[in-house]
Amino acid sequence: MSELNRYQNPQVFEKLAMAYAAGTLHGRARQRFEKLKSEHFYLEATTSAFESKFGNLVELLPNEKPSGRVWKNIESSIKSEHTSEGTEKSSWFSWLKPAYAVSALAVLLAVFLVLSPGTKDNIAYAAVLEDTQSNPIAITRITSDLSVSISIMKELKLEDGTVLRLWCHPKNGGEPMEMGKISNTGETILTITPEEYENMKTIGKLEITADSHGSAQTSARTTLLKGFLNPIKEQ
Amino acid sequence: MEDQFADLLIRCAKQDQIAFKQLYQKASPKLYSLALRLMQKPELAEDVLQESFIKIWQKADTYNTQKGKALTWMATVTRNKALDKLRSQKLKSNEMDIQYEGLDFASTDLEPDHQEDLSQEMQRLRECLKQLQPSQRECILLSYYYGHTHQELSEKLNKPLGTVKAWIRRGLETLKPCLS
Repeated sequence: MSELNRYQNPQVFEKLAMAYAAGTLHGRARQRFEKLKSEHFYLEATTSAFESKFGNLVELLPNEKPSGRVWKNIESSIKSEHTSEGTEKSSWFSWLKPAYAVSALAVLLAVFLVLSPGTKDNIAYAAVLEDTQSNPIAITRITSDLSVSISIMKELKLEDGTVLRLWCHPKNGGEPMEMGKISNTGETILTITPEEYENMKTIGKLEITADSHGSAQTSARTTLLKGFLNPIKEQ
Repeated sequence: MEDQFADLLIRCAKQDQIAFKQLYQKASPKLYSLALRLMQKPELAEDVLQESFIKIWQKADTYNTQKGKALTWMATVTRNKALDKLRSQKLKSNEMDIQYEGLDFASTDLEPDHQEDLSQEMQRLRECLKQLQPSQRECILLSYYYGHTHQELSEKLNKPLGTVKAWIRRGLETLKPCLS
């Protein structure tokens, strides 16, 4: 009879499970049984049943007080475990958030470019503009035929008298330049000069602001959306 | 008292650290007592107790009342931890100064006047143990509480190895139908 067949015989394995639980199974026999027990549910279940019977013997023991060091060590161990889990979670999320954002923007941009037949070959620059909560709200495309298209995917609610303006920020941190007024919904097309198009190489970021009163120079301005300008094809 | 252990253990499964502290305060005196007898040295027993409670905290969600009483489940965790440690360190009782021995606590508690302190499950086990011959009972209890091997029991009781093995085998055979 093979070893496993022997253990499948209830007469044998119940006896062994009982001896294991009572603590009378020792040495290699105990180790062999532990290995089989971990592989076969019926052995594990039978052993567990006997362990719960013999475990009652602990009630007969006199109480003995361990030193305070034990609890301190246990407490610090579970607290550090908790902290490391928290750190893992926060580092996971801190990694996930930009990764998710970048991949979401990449998908959005790719979908938008693919769904723009006839223009995609001409697109020289594109930017996804996000709100302050990092939600992508608008896509801007600058094409080699000197047009700037701004598509607002989610309508921006504006107070009366407020206008939206598109700005471009130089990479070197100079003063932003206004590119024009835009609609708070749908698509707006602006036209730029050949010089301005050429100048796009130096632009790092686009921004959409809400200007409440007066001209671009005198009004109160709030930045609503912003995003990096990315070259789509080699210039 | 027993329901309280189970309740606390179930709360530990939900990462309730206050419940865990209460569980430690209530259960550690018995579990430490068990670890002391198996390990024979307070510092080793404390290590076992510490590792056992960390495992109890981590595995609390695997406990359910169908597995038996919470205290017996924790006793099994502690006992297995102690035996693993003894095995990994190749510690043997004859290499250590014996500080804990004998079964005075068990023989006293097998008397009827201590019955009210025991759970129903322990009272049933006690009735089963009383069916054994004293030598059979002594060998099984010494194995459980102290982790003695057959050889160690033979030396300790000054009886031939075959006799000790026979006592244990017959003792378990007598216990089996009673426990089932």
